[in-house]
Amino acid sequence: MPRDDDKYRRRYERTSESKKEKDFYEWLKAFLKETGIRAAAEGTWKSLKWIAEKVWEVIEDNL
Amino acid sequence: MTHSPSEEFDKSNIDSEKIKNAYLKRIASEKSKALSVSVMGQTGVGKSSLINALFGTQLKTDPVRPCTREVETVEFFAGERKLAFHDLPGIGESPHADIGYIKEYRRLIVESDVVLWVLHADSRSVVSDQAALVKVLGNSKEANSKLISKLTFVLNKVDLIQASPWTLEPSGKYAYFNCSSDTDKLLALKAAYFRSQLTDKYASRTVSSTYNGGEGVLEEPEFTFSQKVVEYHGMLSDKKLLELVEKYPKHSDLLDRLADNYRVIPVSARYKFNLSQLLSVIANKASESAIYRLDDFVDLREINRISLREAVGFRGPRYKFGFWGFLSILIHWLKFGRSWKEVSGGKETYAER
Repeated sequence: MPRDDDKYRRRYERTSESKKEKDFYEWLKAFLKETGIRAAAEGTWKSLKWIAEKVWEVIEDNL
Repeated sequence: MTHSPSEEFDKSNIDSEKIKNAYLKRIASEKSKALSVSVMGQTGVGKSSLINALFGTQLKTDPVRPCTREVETVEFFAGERKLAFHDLPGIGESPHADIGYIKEYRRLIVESDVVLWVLHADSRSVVSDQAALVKVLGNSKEANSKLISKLTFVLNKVDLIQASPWTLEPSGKYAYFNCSSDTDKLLALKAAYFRSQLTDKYASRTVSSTYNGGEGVLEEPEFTFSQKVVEYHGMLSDKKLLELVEKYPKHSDLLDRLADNYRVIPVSARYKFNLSQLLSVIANKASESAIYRLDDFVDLREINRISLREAVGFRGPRYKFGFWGFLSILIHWLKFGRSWKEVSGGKETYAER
C-alpha cells in the first residue's frame, strides 16, 4: 500500500465527520429558532449540546 | 431571554423525533442535488479519467475532442446519485479569451462543490496555466482570494515520471501501484516547481482552513480559531510548516492539513496512485452541506487499489512481488491465461484522456 495512504483515508473520514457535526449544529440552532423553541435556541451552548446529543445518536445511524 | 451557563431549560419542550425527521429531510434534500465538480486544465491532462478514478463514475474519455473554450457539462447518474462534471478547457493559449467565458468559469468555481485545476506531470511548461490563472482570478483582491481558496491543483499522470521503475504490489484480488523513494522525491520536486510557478505569488491573498480537532490554540498571528474551524491567513510554505511542527508537535496533523490545501498534489488516475491525499484535500475544502454528496461518491476502500486483473493488463510498470505476490499473479495468469510484459516506461500506451 502506498506510503501515507491510511493517514489520508483517516483524515478524510475525520474531516467528513467534523463537517457533518458542524452542519448539524448550525442547522439545529436555526431550526430551533425557526420553530419557536426559543428557550433552547437562545440558550447556552450546554442546552444546545443536550438537544444535539439527544438527537444526533439517532441521526448518525441514518447518514 | 438568555440562560446563564448553569440555568436549565425546559427539556419537556424538546421533541427530538420532530427534530430528527426535519434534519433527515434536509439531508435527503442535500443528497438529491448533484455533486458539482468543475475541472480546469489543458486538453490531454486527463480530466475525465481523474474524475472516474476519484468518484467511480464512467465518464467518456474522448481523445479527439476539439479545442474549445466552451464549458462542457456532463451529468452522470448512479441510482439516486447525480454528479455534474463541468469540463473547463484551458484558456491560456488564447490571447483574447472572451470575458463571457471567464465570467462563466468564475461562476462555476464559486458554485461548484469540488474545483480541480489539473496539470500534466510530464510537462514543464506552465505558461498556458499561468496565463489562464491570471485571467480567471482577475484583478479584484477580494474575488481573487475567494477563487484561489476554492482551487485544488493536481499533477496528474505521474506514472509517466520515474527515477526508477514503478512497482505493483498485489494484495489478494487487488493490487497497489507504488513508486520508489527516488521517484517520490522527483514527484515532490515537480509538485513544488508547479506550485512556485502558479500559486505562490497569491500567498498573501489566501486563507487556508480546516476543522478544529480540539488540539488547542496556536499563539501565532496568522491563525484564527473558532469552535469548529481553524484558519491560516497566507500560504503555509514547507519551510514555515517545519518550523511550526517543531514548535508545536501536537498540532502536526492540523498544520499538515492547512499546508495540504495549497500543495500541488501528485496523482495518477491510471494507476490510482495517491488519490486518498487528493480526496482528503477535497473534503477539507468542501462546504458542510456538500460533504453529504461527496460521501455518496467516495469509496475509501477502493480509492487507491486496482483489480489485479486490470493491473496486469497495463504495460508500463516493472512488477515487484514477494512469494505471495508471485503466487497471486501466477494464479491469476493460470485463471485468465493472459500474458504480460515487463516494460519500464510505457508512454507508448498512454491514450490521451
